[in-house]
Amino acid sequence: MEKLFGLEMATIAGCLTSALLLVVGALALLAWRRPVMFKLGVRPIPRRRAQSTLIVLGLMLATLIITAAFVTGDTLSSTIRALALEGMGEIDETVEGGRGQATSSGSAGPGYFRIERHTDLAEQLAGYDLIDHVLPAINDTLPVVNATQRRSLRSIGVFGLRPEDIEILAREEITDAAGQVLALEALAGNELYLNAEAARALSAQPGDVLELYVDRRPERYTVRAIAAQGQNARILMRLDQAQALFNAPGHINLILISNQGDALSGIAHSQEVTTHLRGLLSDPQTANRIFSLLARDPSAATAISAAAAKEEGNTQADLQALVAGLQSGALTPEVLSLLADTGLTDRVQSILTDANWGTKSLRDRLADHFGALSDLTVSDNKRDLLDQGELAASAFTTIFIVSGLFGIAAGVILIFLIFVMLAAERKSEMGMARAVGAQRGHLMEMFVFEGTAYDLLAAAVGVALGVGAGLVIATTLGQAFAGQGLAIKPTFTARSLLISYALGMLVTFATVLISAYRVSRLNIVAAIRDLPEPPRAPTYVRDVFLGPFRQIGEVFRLIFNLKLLQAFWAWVVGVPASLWRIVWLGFTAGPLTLLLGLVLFPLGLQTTSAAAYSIGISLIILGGGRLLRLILLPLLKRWPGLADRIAYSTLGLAMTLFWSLPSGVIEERMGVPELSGGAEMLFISGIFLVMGAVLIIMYNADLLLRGILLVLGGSPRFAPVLRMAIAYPLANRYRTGMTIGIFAVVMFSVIFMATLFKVNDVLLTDTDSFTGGFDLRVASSHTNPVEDLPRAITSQPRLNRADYAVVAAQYGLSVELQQNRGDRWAGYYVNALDEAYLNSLDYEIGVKAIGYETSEEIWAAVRDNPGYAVVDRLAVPTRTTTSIIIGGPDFKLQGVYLEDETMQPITIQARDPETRTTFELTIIGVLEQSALTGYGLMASAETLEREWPSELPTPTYYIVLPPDVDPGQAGAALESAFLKNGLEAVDQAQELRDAMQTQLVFQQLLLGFLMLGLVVGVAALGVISTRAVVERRQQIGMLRALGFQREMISWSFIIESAFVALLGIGLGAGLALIPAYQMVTDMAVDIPGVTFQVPWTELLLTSGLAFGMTLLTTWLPSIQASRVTPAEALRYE
Amino acid sequence: MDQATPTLATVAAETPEPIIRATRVQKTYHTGTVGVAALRGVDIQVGRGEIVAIMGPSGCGKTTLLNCLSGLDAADGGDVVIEGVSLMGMSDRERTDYRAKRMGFVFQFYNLLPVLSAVENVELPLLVSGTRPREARARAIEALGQVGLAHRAFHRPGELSGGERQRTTIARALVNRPAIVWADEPTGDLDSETADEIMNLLLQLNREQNLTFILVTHDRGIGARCGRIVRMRDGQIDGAAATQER
Repeated sequence: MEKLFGLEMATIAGCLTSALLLVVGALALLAWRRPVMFKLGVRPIPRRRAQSTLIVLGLMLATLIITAAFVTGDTLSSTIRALALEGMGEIDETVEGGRGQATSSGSAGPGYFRIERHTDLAEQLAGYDLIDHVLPAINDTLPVVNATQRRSLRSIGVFGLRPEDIEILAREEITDAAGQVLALEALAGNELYLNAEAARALSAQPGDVLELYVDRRPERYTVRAIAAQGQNARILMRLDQAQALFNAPGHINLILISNQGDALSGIAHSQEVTTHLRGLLSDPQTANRIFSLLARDPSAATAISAAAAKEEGNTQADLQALVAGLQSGALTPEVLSLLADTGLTDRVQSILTDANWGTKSLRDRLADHFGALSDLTVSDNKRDLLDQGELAASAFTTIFIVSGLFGIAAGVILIFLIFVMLAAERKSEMGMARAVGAQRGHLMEMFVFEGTAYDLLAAAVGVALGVGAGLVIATTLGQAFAGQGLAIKPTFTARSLLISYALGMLVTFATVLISAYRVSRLNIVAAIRDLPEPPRAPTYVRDVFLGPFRQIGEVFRLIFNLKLLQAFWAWVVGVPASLWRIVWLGFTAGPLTLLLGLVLFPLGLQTTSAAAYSIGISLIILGGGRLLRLILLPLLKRWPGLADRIAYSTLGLAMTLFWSLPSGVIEERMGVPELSGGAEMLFISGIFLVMGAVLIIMYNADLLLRGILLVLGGSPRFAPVLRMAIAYPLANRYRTGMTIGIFAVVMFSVIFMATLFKVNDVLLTDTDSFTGGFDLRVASSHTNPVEDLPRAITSQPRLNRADYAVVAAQYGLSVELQQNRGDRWAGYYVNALDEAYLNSLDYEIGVKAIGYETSEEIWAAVRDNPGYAVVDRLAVPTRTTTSIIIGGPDFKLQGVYLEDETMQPITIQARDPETRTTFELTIIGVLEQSALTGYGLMASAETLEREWPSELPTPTYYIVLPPDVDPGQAGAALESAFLKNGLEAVDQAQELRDAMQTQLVFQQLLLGFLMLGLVVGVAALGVISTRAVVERRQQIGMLRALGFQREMISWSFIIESAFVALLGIGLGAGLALIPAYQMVTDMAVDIPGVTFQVPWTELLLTSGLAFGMTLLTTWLPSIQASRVTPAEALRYE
Repeated sequence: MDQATPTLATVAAETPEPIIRATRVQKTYHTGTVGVAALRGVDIQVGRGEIVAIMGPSGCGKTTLLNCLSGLDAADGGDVVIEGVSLMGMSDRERTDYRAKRMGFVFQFYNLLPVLSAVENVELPLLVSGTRPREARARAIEALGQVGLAHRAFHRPGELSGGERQRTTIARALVNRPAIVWADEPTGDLDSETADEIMNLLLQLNREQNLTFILVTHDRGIGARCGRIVRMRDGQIDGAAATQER
């Protein structure tokens, strides 16, 4: 993987490694200068092995999650790279017939050109060092029938090469399973080789007879041998055989270019070679015309530059290079190469049309010039494939890292807890150290040494276990996608591991640093006597604000006393620190938090960023809550704790309420524009919701305790145990709140996702709403199609027409649509439906044009009135906004919303993108459901037959079977009957189920990944329980003295952990259902039938697992607690 | 007040029956390979309603003796008989039960549970011994009233002064109407005025309720106010100083 979050992985690795080395180096220097603090810090680690192990396990979880995400990304990157390399072998670029120009001559089909073009190009490239080979080839497709096994394929690739050029293909594609090379010269005139996928799809074996259909006439060939591998079904034969087969003597349709170097290293020259080739093959005068058209109007560069910012990978880089070239004013070979890149220039033309650049005639002229630039196009396919692989890998890594954010956040809280616990354990030691003269900084150093030692070890363990987790994910993904012919081989790179280690280590180090600062601020007497920390002395605002002035005065004093080094230090550290204290006070007291919120909130509205908007409001609530507390404290000082309770409960309530409101409720009333947000909104909402709810619980804990005791405290034997078990966690607000928070955020993520995934159940149970009630989807070869399937079925003696109740045709056409004159033409689809289709169609219409009462009336109108159409829901805007934008088509209809019930008929313009033939369509309804066949407008076939400038393409047939007919058998019978047409019948319901199955595996994987965070929660409770045994030793002794039996002590510990875990689990699960409900309700607008369902199985399983693990982790400390002997515990204070 | 609890007058009329009888009690602590003999065959007898101070230099075994006599710790040898029942023959469970029902404890640093209010701390022994919560609460309030702390019942230990905390501890020790109250340096953490108040309270309870008190103390003044002083040295009762009746 080369990029993540838009940053080069090499840059990320470099920065993180430098930071890591800097931290470790600085600490090593500090350890050398203060060996005593270093020894004090690291000495306890080997002495408490069990506790040290628990701490390492707790610290490593963030690293584990990061590593697992990276391993997943590496695996996908390597898989796609392997696919590219296997498919293309040594081929780096290809030269093909270009832009629909008439490159063919004689009897050869479109895209073919005379082989002399190859000879000319090879001669031109003779002295060019970066290219090894320039080879002529044919690469085409046709339908094939295995006459021996009676299996067919609608389309198979045919690759024709000269015998001496075969080495350019990947070795696995040109050797059989026994390792024998498939020599092309050994083929007789009617023999061919198949690759592994082709053999699998056709059930072919050596010796089988294949019928290859060209121009509807079969050519019989025998399979001589089968290659060991191959992902896409392909036939391999000699070039002369392919020329004969496609009736193209003396012609080819492809020139293969192999760069200097092997299959992988050759890509390094791809850009330079492509530029060179395009320079040779393009007409310089046309190129100059294009360049001057674009360069003379700067708005072209501006529009392309703006569009480039939204692109990724090579497309973005190429668009930016084109902008730079246009702005420089010089048509360099590199710019010419970009202008000759058909994919890129198609995008450029679309950008310019969108931006309404120039005039229509100018844009048309530009399109003509692009068409005339070259009759051959050069494609750097391998580079593009690898780029796509990188983007996919980066996307997957991002998904897993974003999903892992909950776990990482929980991990950070755990690290904090662990170090607060360690500090508590060494409190008296630290108090003594301070008493004998150690500065706070020394204590921090001691802690940082200890923390870093754990951290270095934990990051290594995290990486090791993360690799394991990543490999499990990759293997599971491999199994999930195996059915789709994608071989995923788990792999990882050293660079990813380095990044994971450094990132995990630095995240933990930052947390250690903050916790060390916090624990170093101890009261010496309380620490020595192991007493609770007394309340902090109040911070006087005046002192804080005077701090910087005092520091500056101190600097001058030191300069005056010629203590220049100290003066420098005071200036560099002291003054910024005093300034930071002002900022910190501003944030903790509330005003700055409030201010930041007031800045972010409008910024979010302005940029339509959901994250900035909602974080802004949350900060306003936070800041407001803190300010309220400040106001209430003096007013309510007679009632200790009341000010806190009111302020934090209000804060928590407001926060929970804001994040619980259905999205868009406030925004709509305020007239806020539609906000956009991504998956990060899930994380943000989870954190703030949990924060709000935890604050409410912790500041009203006494009420909760009273309630629980009222319900459960009746039993005399149970009452004291329950009281102790609940009193401790509710008294330690900070610690308990943190632990509840850990459990809650993780449960939130798991249950939220599980609820969304539950939506898939609808797809599995209600397949009809997606298939429209059509059981089979049937398509035949475009070169040898079944012309009229209903009639063909009737004429087939082996088929029973009654088995195929309805056979309907759908013609899929790419069109461009424009709602108002002057609007840009947006790409979309029209599905032209024949009468049988329109008669049997039972899709509901959600929004009906005025004058139509029922869906049936609408469909009848579409059938009877050419030019009438129905639009699917994807092209219609909604009034409700969802947090996660899933995307949609380029075309968006205006004047109707999904929530409407009626609409005015809307007339739009449609045109054929090729010929620009324009016709009108009147939309009279919006589909109720997003059906599998329903993407695009739906009009009658008659409409298109009248308006479409050319013959309609081969249709896809949709068949309704009688209830007692098995779709599998009916489909197989059709395939067998129309073998020669390469007919393929797909069981639509089964296809949906298969797709869902793969998705299900991915979902389970993601849930499993999210559940990793629960380990953090469980570890947190383990740490707290272990610590509690030490902390409460005397209290346990006292309880034993008072008559608590051993098992009562043990139970009170277990119930205490169980109580915290249950609170966290319940809170997280409950809160998750709020946004999940809103999200599912929003989805139900798009996918009727989708209903909100609580994912009970996942809920019970996850809760049970978390709860069970909690009990197991607490069990050991609880036993230790029960074994505390009262006399020993009470002996010392 | 429990009608069965003998008053000072009735005790005075009877021969003080021994409530505690310890013979040749031994206890050795092992620190690594070194064994430290904390008690070397201690014999002691305490009559019901007595208030006895155990005194001696640091490390002489006072607290160890108190722990072994009260059953908080198991003696290595000898026998401890409380109210006619040998603690040595009891299991840990039986000893714990016995403590819950018949003993009260007061310690130097109060050992109150910081997460519970005063009344919750006081009612805890009652709940442990199976008293119903409602009754336990009423008796705890009553006990706090006896030590003059009813108005602070719902405050947590952190909100009480040292003297108030020790009073709460005493209320907790009394609430289950024990036969014996064990007090380890009950005034050790208090100023002299508060220490006097606490001592007055103990003497008053001893007098009014015929409670048996065993006090471990360094404070001669406190010892002097007890009915009897038992002096210890090197894990034994100091024969030279003997046991003094006040």
